[in-house]
Amino acid sequence: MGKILTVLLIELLILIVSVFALKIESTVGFLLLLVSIVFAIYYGAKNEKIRYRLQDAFSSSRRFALILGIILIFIFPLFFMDSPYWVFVITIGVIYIILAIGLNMMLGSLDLVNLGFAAFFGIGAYTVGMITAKYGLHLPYLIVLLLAGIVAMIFGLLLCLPTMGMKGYYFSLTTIAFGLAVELTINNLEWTGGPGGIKNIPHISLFGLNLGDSYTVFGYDLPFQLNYFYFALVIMLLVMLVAWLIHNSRIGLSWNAIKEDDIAARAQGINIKVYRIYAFAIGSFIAGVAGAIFAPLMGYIAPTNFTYAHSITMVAMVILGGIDNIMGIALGAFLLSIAPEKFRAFSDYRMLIYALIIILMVIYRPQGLIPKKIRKYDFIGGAKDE
Amino acid sequence: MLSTVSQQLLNVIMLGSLYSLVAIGFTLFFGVLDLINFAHGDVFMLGSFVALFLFMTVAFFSGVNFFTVLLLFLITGFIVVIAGLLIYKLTIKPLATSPPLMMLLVTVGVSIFIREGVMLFFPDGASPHPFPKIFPETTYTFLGMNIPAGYIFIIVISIFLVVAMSIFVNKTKLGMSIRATAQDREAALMMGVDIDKTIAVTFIIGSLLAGIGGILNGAYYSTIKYDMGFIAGIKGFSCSVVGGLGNVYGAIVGSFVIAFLETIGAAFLPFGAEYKDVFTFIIVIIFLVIRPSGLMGEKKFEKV
Amino acid sequence: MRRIFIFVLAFLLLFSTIGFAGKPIVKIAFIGPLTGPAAFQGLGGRNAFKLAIMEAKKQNLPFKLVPVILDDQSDPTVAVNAALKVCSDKRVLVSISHWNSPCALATIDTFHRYGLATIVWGAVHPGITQKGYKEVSRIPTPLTFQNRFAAKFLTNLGYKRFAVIYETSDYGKGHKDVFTKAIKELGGEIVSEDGIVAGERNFQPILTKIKAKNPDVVYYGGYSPEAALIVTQMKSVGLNAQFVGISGISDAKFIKLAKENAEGTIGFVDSPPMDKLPKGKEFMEKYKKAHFKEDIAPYSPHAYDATWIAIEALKRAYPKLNRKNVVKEIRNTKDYDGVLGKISFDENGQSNIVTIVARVVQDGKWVLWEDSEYAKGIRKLVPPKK
Repeated sequence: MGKILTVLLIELLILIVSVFALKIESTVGFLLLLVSIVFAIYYGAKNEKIRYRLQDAFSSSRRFALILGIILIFIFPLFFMDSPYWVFVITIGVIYIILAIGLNMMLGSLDLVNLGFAAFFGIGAYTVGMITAKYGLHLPYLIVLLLAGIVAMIFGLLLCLPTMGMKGYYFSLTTIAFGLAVELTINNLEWTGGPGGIKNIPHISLFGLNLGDSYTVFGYDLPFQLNYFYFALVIMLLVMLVAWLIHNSRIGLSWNAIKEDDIAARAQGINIKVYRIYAFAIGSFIAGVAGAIFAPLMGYIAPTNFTYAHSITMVAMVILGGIDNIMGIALGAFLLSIAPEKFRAFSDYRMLIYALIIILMVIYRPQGLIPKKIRKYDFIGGAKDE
Repeated sequence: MLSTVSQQLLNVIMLGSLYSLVAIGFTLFFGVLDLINFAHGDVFMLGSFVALFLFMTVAFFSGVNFFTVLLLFLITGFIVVIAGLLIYKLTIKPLATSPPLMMLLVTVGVSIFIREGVMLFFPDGASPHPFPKIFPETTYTFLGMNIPAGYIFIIVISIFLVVAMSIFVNKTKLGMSIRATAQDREAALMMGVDIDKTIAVTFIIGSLLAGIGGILNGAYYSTIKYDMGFIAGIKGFSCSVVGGLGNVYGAIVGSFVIAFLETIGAAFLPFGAEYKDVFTFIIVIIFLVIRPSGLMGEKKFEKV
Repeated sequence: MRRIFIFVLAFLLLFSTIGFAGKPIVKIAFIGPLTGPAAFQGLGGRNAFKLAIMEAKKQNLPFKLVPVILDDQSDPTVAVNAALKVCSDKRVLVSISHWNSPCALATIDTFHRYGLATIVWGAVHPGITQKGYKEVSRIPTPLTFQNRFAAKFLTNLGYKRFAVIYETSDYGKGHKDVFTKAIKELGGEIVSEDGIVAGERNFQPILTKIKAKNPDVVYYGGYSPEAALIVTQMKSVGLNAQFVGISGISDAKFIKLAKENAEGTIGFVDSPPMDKLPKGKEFMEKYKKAHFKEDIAPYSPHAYDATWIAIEALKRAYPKLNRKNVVKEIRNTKDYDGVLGKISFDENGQSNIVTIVARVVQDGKWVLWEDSEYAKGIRKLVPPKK
């Protein structure tokens, strides 16, 4: 019982702290809070007793911790009802978590540094924009979402097949060239609206509900961004689930085997080509889906949303959080997408800070904030994360 | 018509010379370190901004003459070399034993760091800046071509740098160690080559060429901007891929091939000016896919 | 256990001290490019906005006026975020928004969606006032006027053959379309049209091609960084033609970058020199007295008038201070006696102000065409070819 109470308390504390962290308007107050959080974590990690107690509490009531966590995440945006802008920012954060998990399919699982990943995000978003705004087709949104994913996946395969034999630099460079070619083409084509982008993308309507409407619940007018948040959250949880299942399946294992030593993996009978195709197909599909949420939320998309800098940001998210660890990636993506909003005063320095994060993390903590877990094997065929 | 053709050819030559100064660095890094240095284009940009800064301070007092310009080149070269060495010592060297993924990422980080650093800390860094006129202003006409004197200087300096570099690599002991390391690192190590020193020298040469390239680029276009390193890096890399990564002469050939295609594309294709960069990237992808060894590279097989 | 309790309590105490206080207030927003390539325009506009607010506060207003200032970085996506932030703050009743056309085009839908009145202070794309949104009004003259004026002006000087280069953005394309149409109507000939991507540096191939077509005029629809490169490289390839640009190049930066090559360039602007405006001298003095760090910018009077029109509308709307009323009252503006003249809006929200002038670079300064030595025949433009 005490353990469950501990989990409850800690998760509530995290919720309250993050709400306050986002709510504090003064930069100084925020920095003070940041310092106290770091101090608390440091103190907690240093003290054997506390650390052991927390570890014990969380590992013995995992299911409870997980369910409570999900419930709290659902409650989280309700603290920002007075400011739809923050709900919007948090929703963007959720979209970036989806993207980072998609990127990890290549970057984390297979060591393929894709530096043009924003292109898939853009292709997904543009697919939605073209279908709904430009041609005004009234397809059910879930079909549009699926189409966005599929179109992005087709481009993913287009990139995958010719780069099949490439590793390391050659691959990364090809992805840069690919990302830039996509960005410039969207930018130049009149068909896609050129640099002006696509305006007036209609809101998502789902089972008769229009996500662009404000709904009134218990007398409260909920901002429409909240609808998007919940929708994005559901998709995010689905994507996380899929990623977790894949990671623990034969595919995930084979990916990691290829990553460690592709020649040895081939000798084990792993068909590298097939597994690369999986990685590209799933990764780019997820990015396309993220784009499909992004476009109607913004109502306006332009080539400037999907640049090389965005690709770099996504890579930074994965590295900061922890390569190949879903919770880590989510943490990294959320931190980096919220941070610029908190540090508006320093928003000019945003890219500089990202660059520093990449450099310092790569040199001093390449495993990220939450390192990847080592697979433990119980018996034949079963792999389990511990 | 003839004058148009010859003028376009001149455009190709100028563009090719500027590209090759960046491309050579890429190819050297790849040969010696197996590294694609994403920060290389930004070292190039740094060169032009260092020169501008020096010009704003030093030349302000002494005016423009042959010696100040020479000094400008020397000091800029020196500072850029220091920057290159710092990049190596601080970020690349600590990762010597890490997976190549990490080295790649760190150069991406350094690249953004330099670019944003110049944007934020150079006075009014986000705007383009006029580059001082360091070459004489006269213009010559020859075969219908319009040739500003600066162009001749740019070509002559580029050729000088390339020849000097090639003599250094082929004739001196340090140069030989670069070639030996590029060919077979382990064998070179066994023959007593100081790998660390060799890599440092590679960084010196690459950064020097890029930095001077930055000055020449500023002189050619007459304005510079903090983000020009990114596209210059991508172009330089494209040229070295087309020429064959690891082959110095390939990088030069590749530069002229890309310069030729871009110029012709922009001038003769409908919407060519808009799409020329897209063409370049597609050509690079095609090369990477079909002939990753480039026009002049040797085919490498991975040993098991 | 107790230790964790104490932690939680300590955190809760820390946050409960951060309180929220509020008075009934009216917020008025300003959005413009405060950083990025067009920062000086945005800062000049912002200062004018601040100036108007300061003056209004000295009057005994029946409400408390609180300015909100946001940056759009000349980037449409940032602009949409900023607009969203403004719109979701219910106390904001008017927004004085945008210098860049792409930004304004991207945000008008947002303002419309939230029913928030916006007065565009610097963007000149005709599309901004063509949607018929009752929330959107604009002070400056649309670029269609600018280009018709330019075409007439140039053909009157005897120029017949025009080479057109334009940036492939809404802004550049919009200018190009109107200009080429107007030239053709006036009997001129368009010898070439080339689109370029913003940020391009190498114009020599297209200029060499244009040289072979022997034009009288090279017209550039875009901004000064590229314009400076074009005019410099025209000299390098020996293309001897009159260089002409639109308001995007008519700034000090163009001369700073192109140096002596700028000499003789003709530029069109929709703001005559400050001292030739109806209340221009008075405004300049006020601006000077306020001791702003940044210089006055070409669109400062527009921003100033826009702000005052908004304040007057708020006064008229009082005590029914809601967005709907303010939207109505802004459109009710009749002959407001501003710096630019007597301002009213038509049914699309376009002001009646038409202030377009031609200027020419003479000795490193933009000089009004009528006052220049070029108009008097002391100096010569590049003559039309036979």
